[in-house]
Amino acid sequence: MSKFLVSLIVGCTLLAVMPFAASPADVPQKPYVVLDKNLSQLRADFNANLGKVRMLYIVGPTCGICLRGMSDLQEAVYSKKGDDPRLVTFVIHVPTLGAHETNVVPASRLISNRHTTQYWEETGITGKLMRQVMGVDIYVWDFWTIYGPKAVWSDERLPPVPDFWQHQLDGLPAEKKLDANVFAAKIDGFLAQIPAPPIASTMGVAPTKSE
Amino acid sequence: MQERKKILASGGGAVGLSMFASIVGLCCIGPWTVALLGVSGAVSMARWQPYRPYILSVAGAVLAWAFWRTYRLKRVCLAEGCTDKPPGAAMYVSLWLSALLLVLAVFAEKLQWLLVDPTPPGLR
Repeated sequence: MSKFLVSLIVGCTLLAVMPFAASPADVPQKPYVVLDKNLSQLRADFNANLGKVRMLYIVGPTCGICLRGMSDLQEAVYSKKGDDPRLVTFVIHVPTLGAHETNVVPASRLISNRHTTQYWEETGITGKLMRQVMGVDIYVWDFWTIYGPKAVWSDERLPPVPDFWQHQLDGLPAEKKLDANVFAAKIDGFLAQIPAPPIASTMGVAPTKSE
Repeated sequence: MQERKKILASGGGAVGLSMFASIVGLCCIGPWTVALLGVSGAVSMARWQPYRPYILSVAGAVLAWAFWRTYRLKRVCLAEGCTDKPPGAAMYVSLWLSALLLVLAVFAEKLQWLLVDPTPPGLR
């Protein structure tokens, strides 16, 4: 009986202590990056990928139209070229339409590949800064941009002017509405400026010496 | 009786279509679509967006038909007398309510921006 009691106490104690014993490595990592107001991480990531074609999307994770845009681009671009290391994507989720950080994870699954980073930017300053960059009167979100391989984010705060952009907003030119196929064709145009990577490296296989 | 059923069916159809078009148009009124339907549901709902004008047109045509039948039935009953029961006040009220709903559905997309400011709270 006493053995049973002792093992019961030990078992309960172990169960109670287990959560505290978990190492930091056991804590599941967020599948997105939380940005500060200065967007410093985004700027660093952008410049770290100089020489590649970079896409920067500003979306609301609870906006159906934005989500449809992401889904369309996944189909038109990433399902075909998602593994291309010359193509880097930054998806910035902003708190439009009452969105919260909890909305980011489900939305981020729409575009998912090794070269895409999802960000949560809690203040929504990204849209305000992009508004300044674009010189428009409305808060800029649901906004889809492409930067060519030479683009550099040199300003402390403002992102560079996109080389190509589309949107899904009222109040911006109708002819610039997001069309995933046009967007994909533009990406191809920019990719043509960069030499294609060796096929072996894109497949994740070490190149072998030719005979 | 058959006539009344047809009118009710077409009126009901118009209401249903108007409501559907409103829901599609109000996709971005808040986080409700994602909360209720999930991300894939919200995407599916947004995919209906380009078809809104057609849905509204069909709703308008069905409702116009219902109006025509109702007022025609009334005229026939007044002029010749009819075996059918003439349309009552409830039918007129529901028809006009359907028409109001259809008008709201037409402007739903614009109305949502009057009701909701999408800008993040800290930047308003």
